[in-house]
Amino acid sequence: MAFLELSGIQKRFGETSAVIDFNLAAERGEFVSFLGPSGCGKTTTLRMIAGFEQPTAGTVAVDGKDITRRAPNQRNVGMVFQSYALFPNMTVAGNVGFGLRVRKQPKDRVAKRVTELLELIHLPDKADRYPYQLSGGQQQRVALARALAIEPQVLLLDEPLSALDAKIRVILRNEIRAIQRSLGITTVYVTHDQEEALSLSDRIVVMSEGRIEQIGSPFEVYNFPATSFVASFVGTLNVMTARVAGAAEGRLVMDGQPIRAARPVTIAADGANVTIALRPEMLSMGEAGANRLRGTVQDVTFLGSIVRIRVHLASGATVVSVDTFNDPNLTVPEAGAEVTISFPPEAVLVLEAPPAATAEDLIAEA
Amino acid sequence: MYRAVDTGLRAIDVQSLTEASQSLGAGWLRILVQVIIPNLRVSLLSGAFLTLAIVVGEFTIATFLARPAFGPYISLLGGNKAYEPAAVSLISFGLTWIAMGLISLFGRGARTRVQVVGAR
Repeated sequence: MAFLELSGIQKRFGETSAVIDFNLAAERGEFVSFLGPSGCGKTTTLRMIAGFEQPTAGTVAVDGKDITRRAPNQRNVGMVFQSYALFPNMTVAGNVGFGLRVRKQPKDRVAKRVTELLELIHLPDKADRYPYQLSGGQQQRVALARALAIEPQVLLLDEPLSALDAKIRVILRNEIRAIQRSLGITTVYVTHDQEEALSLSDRIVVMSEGRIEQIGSPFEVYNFPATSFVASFVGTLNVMTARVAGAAEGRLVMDGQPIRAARPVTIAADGANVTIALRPEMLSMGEAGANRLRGTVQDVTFLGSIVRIRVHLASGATVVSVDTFNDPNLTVPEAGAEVTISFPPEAVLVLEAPPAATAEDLIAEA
Repeated sequence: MYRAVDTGLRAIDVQSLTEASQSLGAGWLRILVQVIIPNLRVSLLSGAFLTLAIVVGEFTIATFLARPAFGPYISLLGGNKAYEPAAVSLISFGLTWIAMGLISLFGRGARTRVQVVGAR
């Protein structure tokens, strides 16, 4: 039996449904991320695990016990907030020891545990500081230590790194993961940052408009997106429409040009439209791959380690992004140049036969 | 008093602080006594001093009190004495200034202590 189980969770605020039929079973020690855009219901779901929101329907169980109706202070669940939520009137030691004092632990035990935790978060000399004397990154570490002090059964993190700058975010991200691994604590992490979710998680729950789009390992979610939403949200996929020309052989026609998928098309018959996705890093300039598309360079963006080239396909309606690794010897095509893009059949992900409106929306976004 | 406490409540993120305390196992009494009120200390003091400063000069309500009060006393003195009312008025003026001074004194100490929260 799974350690943390959410079954049939629903949440409605008046007429609007924030979470619809959410099911998740997380194992002990697992690191699960909820990934999705703002308003997709990920924070609401987290708050239902913490007990700050009551689900309209469904149950939350930890270690086999149903805690759905339990008050937040009876749950033994640690939470880290985006806004840190440290107690401004208490020192770092006071903050970290708060949960232990609530549990009426003897003073010397509290002090010992606080010292241990401050060493764990690499702030052993900051015990007497007040939160306002610390940087954002330090404050969030203290918040993490405070949540861990009570040895919670489940650790919940609600976009803990969103208020920090990019460099600190990466450092703290690695620290969170290392601490989580060393303590083996079951963790749920809410984020809208796909890079964070991919780098931290054992499993990712991709959410959109209150529903789960896909649950899978970072590898699965990135390489085999289940829906066009996942494909467009995780990574910078090219999502476009193609017509099936030969379903059995995986033959498609995109923008009037024939391409081939590695696998047979099973979801649609010949002549039907399907949504396909192409990862920018799987495409290359030149004639190297089995699939070739002709087009014109629209613009070139330098992104540090990679260079993104956007190409208008021949018909002019579809724009495809091509990512190549940056290299001082790289010859970058000029805007307006005629180019050929090529890619292997494995790069073609046939996603679904979508209603026309959705496909158009996605193309417009891409 | 209400305005001062209201401002104080807005300056701290009451919801997050309450939720953080709850997730650490605290009940409402502990949250109120150990988390919310200490963080409202300055607003409560400012409110109290402001109220004091206003009440010192208050006459209308004070005249209805069964006990003798400062406002009516000045008025009473003014009826039959020449210099004392001026002196007492100056004292009342001084008291108001002392109260104002105390507000800024306590306010300054605490402004830096109010946590600046990140975007929610």
